[in-house]
Amino acid sequence: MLAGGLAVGGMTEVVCPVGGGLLLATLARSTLGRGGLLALIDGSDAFDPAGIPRAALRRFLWVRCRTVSQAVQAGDLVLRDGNLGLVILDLRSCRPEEVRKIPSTSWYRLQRVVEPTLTAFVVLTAQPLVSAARPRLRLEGHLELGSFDCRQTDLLDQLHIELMRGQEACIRQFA
Amino acid sequence: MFGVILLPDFALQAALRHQPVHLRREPVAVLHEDTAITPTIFQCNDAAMAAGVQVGMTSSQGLARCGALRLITRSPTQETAATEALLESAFSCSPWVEITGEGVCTFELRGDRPVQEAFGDRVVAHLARLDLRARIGIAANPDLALLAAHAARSCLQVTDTHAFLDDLPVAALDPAPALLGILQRWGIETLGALSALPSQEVTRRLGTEGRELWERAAGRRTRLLRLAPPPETYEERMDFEYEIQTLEPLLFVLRRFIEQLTLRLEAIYRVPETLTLTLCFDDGQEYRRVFHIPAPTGNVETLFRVLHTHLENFTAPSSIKSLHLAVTPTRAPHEQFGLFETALRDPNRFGETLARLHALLGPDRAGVPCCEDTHRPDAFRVEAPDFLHLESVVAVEEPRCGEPPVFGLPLHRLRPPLPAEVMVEKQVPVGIESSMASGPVRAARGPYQLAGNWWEKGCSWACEEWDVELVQGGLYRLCRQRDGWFLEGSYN
Repeated sequence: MLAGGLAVGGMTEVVCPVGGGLLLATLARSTLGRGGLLALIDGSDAFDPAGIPRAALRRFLWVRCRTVSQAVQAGDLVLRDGNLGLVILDLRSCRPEEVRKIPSTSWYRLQRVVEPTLTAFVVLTAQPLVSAARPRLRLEGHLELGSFDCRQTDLLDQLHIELMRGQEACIRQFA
Repeated sequence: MFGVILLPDFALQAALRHQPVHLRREPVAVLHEDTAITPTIFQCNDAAMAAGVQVGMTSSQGLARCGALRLITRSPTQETAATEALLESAFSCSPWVEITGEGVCTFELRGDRPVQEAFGDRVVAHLARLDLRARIGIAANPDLALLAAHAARSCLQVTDTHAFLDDLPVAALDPAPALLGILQRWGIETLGALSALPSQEVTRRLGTEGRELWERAAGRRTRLLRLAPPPETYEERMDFEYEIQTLEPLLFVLRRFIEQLTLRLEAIYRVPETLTLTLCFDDGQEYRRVFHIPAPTGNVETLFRVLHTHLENFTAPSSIKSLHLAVTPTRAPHEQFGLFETALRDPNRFGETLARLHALLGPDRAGVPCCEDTHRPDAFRVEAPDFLHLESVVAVEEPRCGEPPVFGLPLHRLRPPLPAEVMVEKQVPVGIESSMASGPVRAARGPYQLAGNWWEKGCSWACEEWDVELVQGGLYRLCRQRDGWFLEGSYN
């Protein structure tokens, strides 16, 4: 799905009004396949571990936040750590006005923190909110009740990614 | 050959070794605890002696001589820690070690190899790093080695026994006052003069006590060592003179403790695996916490950061009166990483990050999610990550994971579930009303009846789940419980 991969040492925003959970599950599986480690900064404590293969959960650090500001602080700590290959900040369920209250300097700081590392940093949002993100992608598609009969890998084919902003060529790939 | 490690002014050294350097340079005297009525000065440092303070003075006499004199009492806990450090140093020289007295260890050096000159200096240097000033004497028997240690500036090896003993005063053997008086009246001032007397005549006039003194003066007395077991605990303790109310002095002492303990472990080629911190409070409460070091290391900064991160977010119920830090030794880990593995690059840094996350969010809010072995919705626990001991993973696609392929969409949960008004026709939801999603239902799947723990009194649970698709779009999970309908989450 992410044919160009994710930028290592960069901040990627994925706007996913639909299919964010599928993307998360795919990234978790991909991380397991690479023998890497993944951190999910869960901005609204909404992640359901039952939706991810148990084997993938062993390489999964789940950080359960209560507020957006907590999520940004936790993201800062995890990115500075530099031990994890993929860090996902999930703000899909956070209220957009709360996310907009985060000063742009905080996003730029996170961008600077991740730059010298070998970490791919992904921010999942329901609508475009992160000013410092390069590139910004949009996940689109249609899911219905019949989707429950399909395998997750097949469901990914029903979604497509659109590049909204930023360079298409991500020099170092993660996935 | 025998060696003696002597820590002069042992009580004073033990009490001052964790103090800042500038405090150690001030005039300090240790008071004798046994003298209940008029405490007398037991030991004092050079600065106090330069100011005219002498051992045996009362505290008021000492203060009259030196107004800036700091009087402290003996600290048995710190003396125990200093003795352990001394014992470890002795065990690094030989397995046959005796605790001869306070601040004195005797060890036996067996074998034919001559003792190298640098041997004693190495031990002295090691003890100096532990903030203990030591002298070492090496000689043919324990008593002679003790005399050599007393006479040494740093390290003294006695090769010519008679040349060494002849000029020493008789008082160096610490004889009984009555015996010393007799010898002085005879005009015997040195050990050389004493050993020149016929031994049988000395025995006839002074008895067995005199005979024993003569043998020591001649360097002929030998004895078996009362062997001590090697230390099994590595700990430092401090009872504060004044109660601690802020973090800074506590961190200062903790850093000193870590430095000392890592040095002690270094001598036996070990590193700390766990740190056990115990704080005793003024109100009698006690706080104990065990810190597991993810990748055992002797790096002081790393170990200190573990404690610092924890204490930054710790609130004491009252002021701290004593501190205790113990470490469990282990071998330093050696790991060969796989070429294609992406394991933790710095496990200790990750441990620190995790501690910071726990401080920010709470202890159960950062870790590895584990699904409970039940069908109960949202049943999980968060465990501490163990990313260091993950099995090797070859690049896998889903079918090779050993698990069945995953169908459907992952749920984005609402915690707690949102109360919802649900319109039902023929027992099927046809419309929902909630603060998150409202509208008519296009299609619904269910009911999925779930129940469990009915065999345990008061623990049973039951619910009915529905997956619904709204006309205006959006997939949601509804849940009917005993107290009504709830929106459990969305699949978007």
